[in-house]
Amino acid sequence: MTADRPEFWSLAFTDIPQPDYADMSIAVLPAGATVDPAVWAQTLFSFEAMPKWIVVAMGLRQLLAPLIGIPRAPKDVFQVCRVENGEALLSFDDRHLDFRAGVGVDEARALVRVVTVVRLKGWRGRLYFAPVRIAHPLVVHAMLDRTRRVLAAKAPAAS
Amino acid sequence: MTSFHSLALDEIRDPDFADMAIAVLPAHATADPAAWARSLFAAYSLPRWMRVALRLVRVGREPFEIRRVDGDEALVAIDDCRLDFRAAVSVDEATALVRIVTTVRLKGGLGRLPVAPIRIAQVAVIHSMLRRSQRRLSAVTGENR
Repeated sequence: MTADRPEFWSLAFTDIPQPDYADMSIAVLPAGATVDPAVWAQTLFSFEAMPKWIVVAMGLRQLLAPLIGIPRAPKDVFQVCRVENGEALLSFDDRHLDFRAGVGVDEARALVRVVTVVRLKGWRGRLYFAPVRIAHPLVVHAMLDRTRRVLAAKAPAAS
Repeated sequence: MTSFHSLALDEIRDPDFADMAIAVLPAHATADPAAWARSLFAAYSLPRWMRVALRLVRVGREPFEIRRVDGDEALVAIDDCRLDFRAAVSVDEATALVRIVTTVRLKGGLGRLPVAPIRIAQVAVIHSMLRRSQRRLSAVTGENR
């Protein structure tokens, strides 16, 4: 029912229409880069393409989160679970929060968008997300910048 | 993919950085994007350090002005010798969401170092402005616009 949707929509809002936190990071699609949203999502969330400081921050998260009763994130936490209308959806429900990330490629406007939607659960969610809220857009932008470079390098050379 | 349109991206099509902050439209709050834009960029919504910085940088000029309103979106624009800034504030009553799309185009003269604080400020400040306006406008009904 895409035609009935409002102008701005993301799969990320399907399960969490009234989020506690939501943002979108936008970047220019590099010339010649793939427009497959699943490839963008997989590259964006692959440890190989992540800036090192984010890998370190994630390692710290894995160490510290259990101290407030939050389980360590499983390895497949960033797995693409659905691709629809040019957008790849990642979804994970945890004890402290539910999150959805929609990675969309808008070829017509030459833009890539990463929509993050979060529903917090109780005091653990609020405590955990207080610092994450500040860093999140910067982290996504750093990942997006790195992914742009990786996928631009893989783009076929212009003839 | 549902095409996404924003005045901020219309005016700066290849931004150096672009973000959208999204928040739930409080029940009974106004759905007028201009009212949201005025509230978001009012002095009371800005952190104190930013009010001081804007007074210094934009002496004798309004820090933020609504340049135009188009449909459900109000556009705030700043053209400066260092950067161009656009913020498009839209209210979507159907999904009960308020969105601010911000785009920035840097204009040379700024080395890599000064860009980092601008970028941090852009994302952190916009989200805090949105939370303050959510609280403030949640008490304002459509009749009180």
